[in-house]
Amino acid sequence: MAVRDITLGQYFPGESCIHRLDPRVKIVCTFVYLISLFVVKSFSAFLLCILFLGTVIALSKIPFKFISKGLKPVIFLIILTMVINLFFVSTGDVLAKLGPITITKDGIYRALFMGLRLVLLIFGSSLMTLTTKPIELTDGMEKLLSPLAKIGLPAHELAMMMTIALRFIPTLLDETDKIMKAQTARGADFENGSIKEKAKALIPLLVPLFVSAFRIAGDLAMAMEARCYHGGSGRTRMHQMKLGKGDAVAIAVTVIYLALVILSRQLPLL
Amino acid sequence: MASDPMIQLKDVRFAYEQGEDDTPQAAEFAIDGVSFNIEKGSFVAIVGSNGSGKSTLAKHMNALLLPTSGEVLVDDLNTVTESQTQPWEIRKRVGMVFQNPDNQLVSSVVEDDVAFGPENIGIEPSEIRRRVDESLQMVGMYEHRKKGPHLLSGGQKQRIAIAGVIAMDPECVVFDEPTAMLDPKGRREIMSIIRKLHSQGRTVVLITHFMEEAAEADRIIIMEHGKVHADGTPAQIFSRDDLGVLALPFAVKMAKRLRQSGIDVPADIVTDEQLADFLCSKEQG
Amino acid sequence: MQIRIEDLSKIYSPGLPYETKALDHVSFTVEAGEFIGIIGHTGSGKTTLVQSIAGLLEPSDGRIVSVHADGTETVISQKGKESALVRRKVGIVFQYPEYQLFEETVMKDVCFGPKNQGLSLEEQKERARAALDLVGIDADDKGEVSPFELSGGQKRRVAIAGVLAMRPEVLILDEPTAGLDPKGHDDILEMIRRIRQEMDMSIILVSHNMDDVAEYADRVLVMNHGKMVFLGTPKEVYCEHEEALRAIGLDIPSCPSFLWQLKNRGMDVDDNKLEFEETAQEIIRAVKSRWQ
Repeated sequence: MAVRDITLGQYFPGESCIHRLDPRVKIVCTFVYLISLFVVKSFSAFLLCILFLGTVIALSKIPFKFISKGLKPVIFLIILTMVINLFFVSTGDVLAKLGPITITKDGIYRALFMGLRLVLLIFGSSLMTLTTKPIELTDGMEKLLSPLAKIGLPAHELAMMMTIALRFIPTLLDETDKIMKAQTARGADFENGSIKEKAKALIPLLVPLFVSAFRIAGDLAMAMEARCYHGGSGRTRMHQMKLGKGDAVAIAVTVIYLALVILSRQLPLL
Repeated sequence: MASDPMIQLKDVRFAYEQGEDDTPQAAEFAIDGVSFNIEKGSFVAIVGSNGSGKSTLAKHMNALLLPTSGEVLVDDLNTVTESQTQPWEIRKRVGMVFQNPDNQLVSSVVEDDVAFGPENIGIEPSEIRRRVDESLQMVGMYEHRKKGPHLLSGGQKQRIAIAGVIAMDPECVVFDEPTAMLDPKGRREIMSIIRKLHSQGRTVVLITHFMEEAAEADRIIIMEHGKVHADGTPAQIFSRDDLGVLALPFAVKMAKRLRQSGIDVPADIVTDEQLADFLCSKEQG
Repeated sequence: MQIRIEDLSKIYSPGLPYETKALDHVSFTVEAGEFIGIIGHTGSGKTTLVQSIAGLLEPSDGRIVSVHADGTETVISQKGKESALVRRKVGIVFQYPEYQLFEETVMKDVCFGPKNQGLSLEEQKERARAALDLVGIDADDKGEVSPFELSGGQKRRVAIAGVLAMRPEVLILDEPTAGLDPKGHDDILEMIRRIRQEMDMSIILVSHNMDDVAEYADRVLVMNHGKMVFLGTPKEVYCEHEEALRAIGLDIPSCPSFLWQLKNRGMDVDDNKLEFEETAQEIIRAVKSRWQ
């Protein structure tokens, strides 16, 4: 699988009302949605979650196919969770017995329940990254976490680290590609051999890559200093985040949704 | 000469590593007793081979490095004392563009990167917006403002880096080998922006090892082994015969050759343009 | 060894919205012992071309054939053992090659290629010594030093030695002088000239510097938008296709460029000169005839 196939954490350019929401609102609403998935007790209540998520997906105008690609890298994790639940839940009516493993009705129920929860969780969180530019997410995080700076949480520094990481990932990928090619031209073999040989073959790649990373870090630190960087104090921002009507609606809808999910625990019907 | 210095270097010495007893040997000085002033509004080129100390010297001009002995004054502010409290007071007066275009951009969005400097010195958001747009237009990169730097060419990235410096509105810009990693097209673009900055009245210091680029300055300082080897106008510098390994610009070499054959080319002709103008305007010998 | 590039195309990300045609039906032959200079803008396909020749990229279409001294041919742009063996005879020095150094000592780093070729320790060392000698690094003095302790110019020489130690018959250099000062620049080019004479190999030099290509190359290949637009001797390319090169936005070597400026200002000069002295003679002739 090529790196570019991973949609988890990738941005899908668009102009929908979901794309335009304030990143802080998107982070908070996504967080609320993720909590709601753990509040839910029954399959029928999951319908609420699916309805909520489905509406947001429809509004975002991102093709469902594209979102579902986000499952690819974690499908193994989901199956593993389901299998564990299937095999290790031992309460309820026994349906089959294979040596030490028993499969029960409760087990099947739990497996499906957990599987669905994970799928909804991944769809929800990838929808946030698909509709928000990484740099906006970083800014939103910084703003949301800034009250915690008083109790010593380095909100600005964390956001700066993320910004720089985002900036240099493509640079380091290019560098990796170049070094691999250069060493291949000198007869290095990154593909064949035992695990031990493969690990050894990585040295000609990793040493230059680290040297490059340190060189970049040194250069960048100096460039940032030259541009008057001195931490978060006294710093202003060009992009001012302002909450609009859309954001108010989004928050209202999410609050109503959470209320309904909590209510669903009280109502045996749902 | 009536002078209003932007930067004053007074007997500056600098050693990267200091000995056990903090008294480096003379041979270890990367900068070894350099004194000169850079006047406001001038365009000075500092030339030298690798290891001559020219980049080290440049980093003293905005307090990225502090002298081991001697002093550096920027707009009459002493870099050593200022660095203890607010080094950015110096750095917002003297901006710096580095050699590697990739390693000086901070953000994955062009306009956010240009905003980085102004944000650091606490400019009002609406004013940052105005400056960012203006500086991107000045370097001709406005239409790329939403792009990621990794999608741009080396020359374009270097233009973004320059925009990021101009957005802080410094009086002086130091260019530390800005074209060394660029192709000829990128090189031409950067040189034309440098000329533009100078014509706006800003002080420009250009560190380079290309004599063709240095020929465009008002004044050339040649560094060798951490010392000033020569200092003068391009015409004065190019007429010397002790420049060693530094390659003369084509026009200067050609002018020398033509003089040998009796064509009396004036000494102040240092660029192709000037030489062509002279040869074509000349009707009588 | 002669190398024949036949109708070579390379498309990146085919079928995707950002599909790019990096090479578009390129064909030419590199004769044994020839020095070819490749020029073009960043993104013109030069790097893709030379990386394909070195077997680091699989062509989308077309093929690369090597013709041996005895007339037999091997297709090197395909998978398989025989191709891989012949491909080893094509060495490539990347841009800023010093960034690929990784071993503890200079000697070990230069031995990396020969080691991968399966040579004995004795042979590896012998080749490394010969290669270091060619690039002007004293193996006795620097062999056991960490490559990271060397100066920039020395690092680059060691990196080039690492490729030479594999004894290629064709040596590709992608911008070998990038970032060097004028002396470092001249030293590297003189070194390439010497290597070519002593090891009798073909050289493919990718460069932005038109003066270098004009001075050193037997033939110049001009790339633009993935296509080969010109191939000929420096004089043919620079003097006959000057206008076209300018239209692409490429530089012209100093001499014809200056003569062209004079011609544009109405001076009656012949701008088909590449060398400094013949250019000077031409200017003197033109200026003196104006005086009369």
